[in-house]
Amino acid sequence: MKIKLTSVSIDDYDKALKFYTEVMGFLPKRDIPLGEGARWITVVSPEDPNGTELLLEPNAGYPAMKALKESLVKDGIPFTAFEVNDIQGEYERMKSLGVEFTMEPTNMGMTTAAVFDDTCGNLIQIYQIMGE
Amino acid sequence: MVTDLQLIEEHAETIEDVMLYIRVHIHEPLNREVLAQVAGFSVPHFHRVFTAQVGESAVGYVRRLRLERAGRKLRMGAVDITEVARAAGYESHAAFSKAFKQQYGLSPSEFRQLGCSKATQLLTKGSGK
Repeated sequence: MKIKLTSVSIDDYDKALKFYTEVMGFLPKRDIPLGEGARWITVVSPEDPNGTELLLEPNAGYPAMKALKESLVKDGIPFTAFEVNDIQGEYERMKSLGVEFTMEPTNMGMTTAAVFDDTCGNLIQIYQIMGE
Repeated sequence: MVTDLQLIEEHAETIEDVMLYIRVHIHEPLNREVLAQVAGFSVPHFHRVFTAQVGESAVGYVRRLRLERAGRKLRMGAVDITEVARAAGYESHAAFSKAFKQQYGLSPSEFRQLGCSKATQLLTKGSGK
């Protein structure tokens, strides 16, 4: 058994795909039509193109998910997190692209972490493991 | 006479833009002059419109937002309170601690000891929003 897929809740395929590829820098992996406008869209890290896929899951309108997402954002809690090698560099790169950070890179001891708005209704954390 | 309700209706979009500007530029100096310029208003007019729209002054809003962000960092496990204080715009640990305690009723060190759930409750309650 292995972890091959994870997901992030989105509201609009094209907007999410644009953000997760053009801003975050992931690569499109799959875009499979599922009928009636539904699509199975995944992206992967260019550093690990055969690794875990991130599914852009259009369930943001589902009432329970909508409530969860709104509560997480209100409380400032990230929906998920991605590891980076150079958090300060990523922070500056993404900020220059207009990304709104709710937390700039902050020393958490074992990690340095930052949190930003993915424009799809989620706060996302990036972190760098320090001292490895 | 222009009522607060009229001010809110007429300038809601402008104030939303200012609030976004504040969030994006939260680490830069954000005084009333800068924010009034972003809104395209005179300082007194901006003060009146912002307060009517948001329910607190722009300076108070910026201070509260910075303290809330500082609280979130502490909740997530920030280790260096001086770094958190500096990022929130405070020159000293003592000044930050005083402002933080005034907002949340606990010192930053005490707050950091809380569990995530309790800290989140306090941040939500303390923000008043």
